[in-house]
Amino acid sequence: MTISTPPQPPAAQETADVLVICTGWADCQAHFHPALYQLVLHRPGGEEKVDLGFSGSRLLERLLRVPGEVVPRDELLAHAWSDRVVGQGSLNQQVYTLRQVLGDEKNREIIQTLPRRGYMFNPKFLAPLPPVVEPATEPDTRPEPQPAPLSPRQRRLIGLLGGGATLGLLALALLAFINYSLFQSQVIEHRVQLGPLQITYANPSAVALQELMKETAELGRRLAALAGQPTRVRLGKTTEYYEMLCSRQDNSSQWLMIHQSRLAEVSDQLLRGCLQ
Amino acid sequence: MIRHKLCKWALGGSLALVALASGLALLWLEFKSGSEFNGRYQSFGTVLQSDGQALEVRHILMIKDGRFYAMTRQGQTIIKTSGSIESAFRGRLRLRVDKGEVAELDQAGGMDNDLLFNLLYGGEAQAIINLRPISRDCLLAVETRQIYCAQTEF
Repeated sequence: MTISTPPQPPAAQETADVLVICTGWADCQAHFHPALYQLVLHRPGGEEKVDLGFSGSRLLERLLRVPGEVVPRDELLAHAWSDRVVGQGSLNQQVYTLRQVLGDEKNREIIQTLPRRGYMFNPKFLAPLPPVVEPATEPDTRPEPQPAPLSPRQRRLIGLLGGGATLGLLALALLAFINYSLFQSQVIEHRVQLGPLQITYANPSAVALQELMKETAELGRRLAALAGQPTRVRLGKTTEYYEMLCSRQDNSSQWLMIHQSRLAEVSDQLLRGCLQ
Repeated sequence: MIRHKLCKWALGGSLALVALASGLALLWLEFKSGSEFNGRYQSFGTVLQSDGQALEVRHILMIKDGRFYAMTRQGQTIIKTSGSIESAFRGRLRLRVDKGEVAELDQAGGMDNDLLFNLLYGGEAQAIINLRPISRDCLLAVETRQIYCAQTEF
């Protein structure tokens, strides 16, 4: 093949471009390396490297850019011989050579001639790319590439998100504090079912709750005996008074406060008045 | 690396925002303005004093548009108070007394000190009274030990 002052091979990363062409021979594929101006014929028995030269490689590369489309002769001439002016014969010769290399000189199916129009690469002869096999290389010791910095808009968005969330959490904490300090008076409750009577003992401290249950045990038994219908009773105690709220089935309520000194003496009439 | 860290921040921020939104939704669901408590509340009961005397007591409370009006009749003694609802949250109310007036206080001479104190405290201007639910329909005034059960709403 004619090689006309080929420029230096391109950089290494460009050599990754490989196009696979099905040749006119059975069981033979050609790997075209445009960057190396080279065609590698893969046969069952081995592989054969063919140097296409600058013009031949440029010619094939231009045809492969648009498989199935006609490329005019002038354009091919300008592309393959960009540094000088050559005649039509040079183009014919290069096409003939390529057909020879690809085993297509007789059938002319791979590179087709369209009279008075140009040449076309038949896309049927373009094979899918082979899977890329990562070569076993030594561990990459190069520093990890730094990511692109964030745009000002992204920074603002992240700032807003963070700021908003922080403020929101502070507001929530404040509300929780207000709620706790203003409204939450701790009350411990314990429920006991005595027949139709459900007694709920309530007191701010567990110790006082136990004392309340102990002190009102007899009162609870009396109330259970007097309750003729299901009734809920809530029992509590302040400094001097036992407090009793009776909630009946019909949702009516009545309460009774008993001074601690009178707990044992409270009459059944008063207790019935609360229960019924 | 920087982008990775910032992604973590963004993820954390998003989670915090979700938590915040959930919290606010919960607050919104739980929050009740004072007007939600509009209505009339009352209760009736008996106080068995240390001297064995049984006093009949009635408490009446009306809440209307952020204000309250209350009356307690304890034997011959009557106290009336009014004021504003300072705040309301999760079924609880906080009242601030503007003015109170006790009638027939001389009749209260035979009352136990605790009962008398409750009456006087509830009538004092700027006194704070916290109401919290003690049953399905009833509220307890923590400071004055008055019970108010819902009657009607309007």
